[in-house]
Amino acid sequence: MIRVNNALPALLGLLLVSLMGSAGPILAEVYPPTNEIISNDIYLLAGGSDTLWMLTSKGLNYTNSITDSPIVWSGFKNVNGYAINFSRGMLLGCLQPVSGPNDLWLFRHQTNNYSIIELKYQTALFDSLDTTSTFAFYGIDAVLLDNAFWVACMDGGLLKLDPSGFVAAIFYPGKDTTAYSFTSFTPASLAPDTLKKPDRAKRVIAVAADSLLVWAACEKGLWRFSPKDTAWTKINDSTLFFSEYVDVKTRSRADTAFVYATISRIGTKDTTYMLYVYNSKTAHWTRVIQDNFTTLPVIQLGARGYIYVLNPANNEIKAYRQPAPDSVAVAQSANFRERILKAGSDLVNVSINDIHYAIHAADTIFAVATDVGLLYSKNEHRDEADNTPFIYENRMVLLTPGLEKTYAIPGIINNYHPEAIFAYNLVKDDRVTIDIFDYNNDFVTRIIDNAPRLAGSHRTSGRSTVPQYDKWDGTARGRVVSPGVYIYRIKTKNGKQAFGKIIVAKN
Amino acid sequence: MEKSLLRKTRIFHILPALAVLVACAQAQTGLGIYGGAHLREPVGATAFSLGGAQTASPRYLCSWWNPALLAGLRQKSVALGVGYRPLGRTEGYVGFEFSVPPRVGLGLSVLYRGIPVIKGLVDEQEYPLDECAFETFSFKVGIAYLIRRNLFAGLNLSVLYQSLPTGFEDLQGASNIIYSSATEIGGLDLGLYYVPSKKLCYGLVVKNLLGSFKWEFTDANFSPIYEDALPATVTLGQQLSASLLGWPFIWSTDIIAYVLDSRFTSLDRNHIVINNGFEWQRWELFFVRAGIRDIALNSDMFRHSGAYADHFTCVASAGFRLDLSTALKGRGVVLNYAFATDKIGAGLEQQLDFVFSF
Repeated sequence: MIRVNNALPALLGLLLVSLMGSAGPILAEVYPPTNEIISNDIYLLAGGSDTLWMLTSKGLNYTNSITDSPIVWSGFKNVNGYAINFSRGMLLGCLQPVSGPNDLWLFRHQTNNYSIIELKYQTALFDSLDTTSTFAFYGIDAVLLDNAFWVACMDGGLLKLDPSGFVAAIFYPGKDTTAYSFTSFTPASLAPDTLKKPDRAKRVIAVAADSLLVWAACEKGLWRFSPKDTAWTKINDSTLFFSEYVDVKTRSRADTAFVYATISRIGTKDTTYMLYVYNSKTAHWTRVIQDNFTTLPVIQLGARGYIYVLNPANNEIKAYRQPAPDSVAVAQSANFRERILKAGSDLVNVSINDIHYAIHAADTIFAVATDVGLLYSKNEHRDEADNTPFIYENRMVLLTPGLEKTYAIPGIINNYHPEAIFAYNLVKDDRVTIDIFDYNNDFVTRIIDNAPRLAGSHRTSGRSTVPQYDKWDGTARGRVVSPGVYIYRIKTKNGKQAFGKIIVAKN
Repeated sequence: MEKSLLRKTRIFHILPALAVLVACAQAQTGLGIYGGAHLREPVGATAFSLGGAQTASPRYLCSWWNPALLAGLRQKSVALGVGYRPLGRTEGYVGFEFSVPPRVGLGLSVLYRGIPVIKGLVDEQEYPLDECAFETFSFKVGIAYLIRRNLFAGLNLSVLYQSLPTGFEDLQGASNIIYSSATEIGGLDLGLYYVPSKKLCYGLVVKNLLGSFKWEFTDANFSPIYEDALPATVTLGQQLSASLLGWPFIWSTDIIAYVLDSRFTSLDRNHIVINNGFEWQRWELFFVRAGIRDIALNSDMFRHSGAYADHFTCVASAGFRLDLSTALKGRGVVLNYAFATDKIGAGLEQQLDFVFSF
């Protein structure tokens, strides 16, 4: 079944697909949009001034009104993914339906029309180019320039993709600037030594663009590509001994591009990541942040010289500021973590996956993707004593007060989901005991014993649960209990009680 | 003669009491972490109403309770029963047993227990999971031999099966529950039946020897095979026949010890459970029964009396036996019904069965 909101492009697409046979993009099945927040486990963020897209563990979410209160969300369930990029009203994502292929999806955001560009056939093509590596879109980065998406393809060069999805070409960084069209390209058309020349690269890790140029971070060097004359230039870094380029971003000032490159240096024991900036006018490299990172940091460039850095190794977000675009940045004192924790009662052990910065009118939006939901803050004026609270958006359903509805999240404890949290809502403040029994109602363990719990409120999504305590990991007396169905009882001091089932299947 | 019997009776009462006291020195609470929970509850409405005290003299389903009793059967019998417990737990059972004169008896029993519909589970994002089911089937085949007129021995071989939801995944338009199953083949029960006098009999049964559930997890998140050894149980049962207001009155007791698992490895704690049941045969065709079961005796009674009192649970049960043979023109049909309180206050448990003798 093919579903598109605009029938004409779909028909045109199908016509083209039929003409191209197996060597062209196709419009694939898409899932009906939903109006809820898909998942609290958010991997990636992308967006523009009003728009925010979230790639979650259950699908895609987006809003066109990040500044509205409340935010109206839309989304697509049952879609997995690896990367999303948003440019000029269009979202390009490396997505796939559950158990499906590794696809590029294109969402035309202005009209909420959407189509899917499926590039399965190129997988086989790229594979045939180099049998020693596997082509994948897992690491795609993309940018919109010259009315085309420029997609960094792992092991696949730089992919130029028309927003229609039906015109695509590959450019391999190097002196040979031939564009290989997918509709006409065959491995035989590539000269035998094309990819073996030392001054060229076929693996593109990340891309960025200023107003004229595409900057491509390749494994062994930073390349600049001019779409106008299809010319590649390699940026000299011979004095810096970089091991690998892993990320690239740009700021433009008049006729100068400042290219921020995250590089890795492979040591004897560990790999270290560092942030440098390259001044395209002076051809000078400067180390922007003096800290070393042991895991790849997430870098977001803010206004007025601000740089926001998420260090996944310790879940910390730090703000830095550069007095000048190619100067060393100074760490700011703002405490993001404390502000984040104030946004919700269950934000204790939060894993931060991504950060996003966007300018909205006179204000800015700073969003944080975590494994328990989205946090965002308006008025992110970092040069003031900014205590603007973060707002917490999550998909938790308000529970009816009174223990009529309780459940364990998730209902099955297994090796992949090693513990479950008990969701319940008290009518009024009370003391709570949670016990676990087996199928025969024999006592297994006590989770909490007469612990004080507050009545749920809107702020707590209608829960009295204290997540760090009201949970069970399927163990008792130091061992994992036998696989089976277990019964939990939530009992209050005032005599209310509720029962539910939870399955344990750990080994 | 009468005095001698009483003296003997007292001695036999003292022995289990001493055994309990010795075991209490180590035993502690918490049977719930071991496998085979669905095998612990009494099977059959008679046993259910008598508080699970049936090891010394089961009327039917001998292959479940004490295979030694198969050697003493006088008629063939078929038992059919169903049960319902709160929180959606259901069960059904069938038993067939007969003797092969002069010394051998055979029997088999099949028990289904499970929760056919588990609703309300959610995934880690609070999305509802599909309805799923937990199901178990337990087969036991028993054989017994009459050693002497007052001493029988028997054994069971068992095949146990479980199917359990063990995972979930997102599949558009299809079930998102992943099931795994476990099978136990070759578990062994050994039973003895001894009758020292007309008014007293004893049963001794060791269950679940060599048996363990072998899980074959179909979810990629698991090791493919996981062996879950069942706790082996030693049950000493006695049944004393007396009279109340001139009518026969029977008192049954089972003392169940959990010390080793089926592979002869010590459990992390020892457990002693006592079941008691009473039957008053006030009317010829109608017997009333009551019982109390799952009284956990353990060292917490002395060391942590507060915790013992806090966790103490037991089950009170009652029921009746109605002989329908007269109403059905001499055909041997008996109706048994039982109900019991629930240990955790979730509702009432019930069992009903018919026993056909021919």
